[in-house]
Amino acid sequence: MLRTPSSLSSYPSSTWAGLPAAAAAQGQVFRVTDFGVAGVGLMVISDGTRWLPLGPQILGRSGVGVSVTGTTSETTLATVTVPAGALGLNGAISVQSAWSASGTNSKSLRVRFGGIAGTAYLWLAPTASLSASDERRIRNRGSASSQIGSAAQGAAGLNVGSGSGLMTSAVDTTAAVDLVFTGQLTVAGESVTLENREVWWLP
Amino acid sequence: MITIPAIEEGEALRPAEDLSLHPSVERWVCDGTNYVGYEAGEEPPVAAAEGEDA
Repeated sequence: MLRTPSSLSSYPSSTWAGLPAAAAAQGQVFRVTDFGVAGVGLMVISDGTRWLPLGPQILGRSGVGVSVTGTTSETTLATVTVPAGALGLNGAISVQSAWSASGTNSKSLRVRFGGIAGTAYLWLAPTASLSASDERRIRNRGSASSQIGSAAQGAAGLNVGSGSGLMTSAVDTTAAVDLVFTGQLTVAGESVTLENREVWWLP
Repeated sequence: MITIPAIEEGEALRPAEDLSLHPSVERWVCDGTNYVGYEAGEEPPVAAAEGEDA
């Protein structure tokens, strides 16, 4: 049988908000055009109740470094938006980041869920120069407004806390949620750099 | 070099527009006032080490 390669244009496409009701589209695959990697978007499938990622999908990624220096304000280095309702009751995002920091004074490297005032699922506070890579998983726990994650402060990459327990939050994911990567200095002349990041949407 | 104002949201700073709209930029630096994007061949200023003159 002759098989021909399919292209993204073989799939119906829509903005996230413009997707048909999931109940009326069970088993159908759509390409979402307004989230994910430009020109690719997100591939989603309806289970009859909601739209799920067709395998892990990248919501945002970049290897362009973003630094903060010269201010002690907490500074947003990158923002990735999770579409409204994308996590359902049990969906998750995986957040990978790589950082560098210079200087001998305390500084904070954070990944917050829920915008700049959101819960810090990653919070590293080194007092020396640092290179770190890390992965955090944030998953709804049977509710669209209840999340469980990792220990926020700990050895980068190990997700081991020291008595602070696992991070939880009560962010309403039926609305769009911003995930933000931030850097904050205590001495303005030092620097924090977000070197690389990926945010995956998981079923 | 591309300059985008930093705006204050609560006690935090964020860029006034989506930085990914400028794919030619290889590195962004926020100095508290602006996000400055440096393209290929442009070198961001190096922060002075502690004890050195700026």
